[in-house]
Amino acid sequence: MPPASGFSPLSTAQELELARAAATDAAAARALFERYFDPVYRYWALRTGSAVAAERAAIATLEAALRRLGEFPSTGLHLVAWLLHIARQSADRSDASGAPGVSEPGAFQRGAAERAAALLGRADHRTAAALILKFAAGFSVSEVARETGSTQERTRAALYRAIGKVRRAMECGE
Amino acid sequence: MRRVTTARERALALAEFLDGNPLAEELRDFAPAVRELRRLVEELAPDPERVALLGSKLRWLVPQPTATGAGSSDSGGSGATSSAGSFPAAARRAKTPSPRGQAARREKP
Repeated sequence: MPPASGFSPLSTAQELELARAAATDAAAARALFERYFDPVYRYWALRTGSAVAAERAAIATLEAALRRLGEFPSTGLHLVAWLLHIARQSADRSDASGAPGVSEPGAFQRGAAERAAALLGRADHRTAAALILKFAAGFSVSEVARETGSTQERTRAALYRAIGKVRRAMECGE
Repeated sequence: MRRVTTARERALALAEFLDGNPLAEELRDFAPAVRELRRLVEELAPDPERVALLGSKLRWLVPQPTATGAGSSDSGGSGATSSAGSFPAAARRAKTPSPRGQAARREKP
């Protein structure tokens, strides 16, 4: 099943090259920011249920990632999974709300994040990461498990629970 | 196709469906929810123009180019915050005078 839209990961070799370049090159850093803002933003939209909060948190995540590019492992992990790992760490520190942002609210499709929250509730890390890696990045379920350092069973359970929530919400809405 | 009865089996069967396999008969009524969830994640995609705008505004996110004349209108200035100082390139730049600065000093009597 192809990814939903918009984002497609590079090969791990290309991502490693991009990460190394972005550590010292402004154009590469901006390219990394612009390419990977999408999945990070979607992740935060699922976690926060707010477009504005998601934008701020995504900026904070990418800022942290750009500071820590030297830590990006050269072990075949995809950059998007590493970024979501950093997002989780920032959420654990509860510092996302204080992230620097831009002055005006985002011009993203308003309502999508809020609708996600209505259907799913505020997703936890495992669920949000699984949904992004599965539906936005197009990984297989086993790849999602590997990229997130989880088991296939836990990943399947997270996806199953998310689908079940949407199913119940749809039934209630009918 | 095997029978799907427990939650664990349903999770496995749905995972196989998400990976492109046929959906088990018992789970047919899950298909609309999968489509809806997929659509939901799709709708969460940010506007590319907005992302580009953010990228251009957040100069402090990226190390500044060090080559002479390599700077675009986006280079220069550290923006509203001082995070640029955390980058290796920014740190090197802080220690190394820019070519423009060196030229200015040479011009001084």
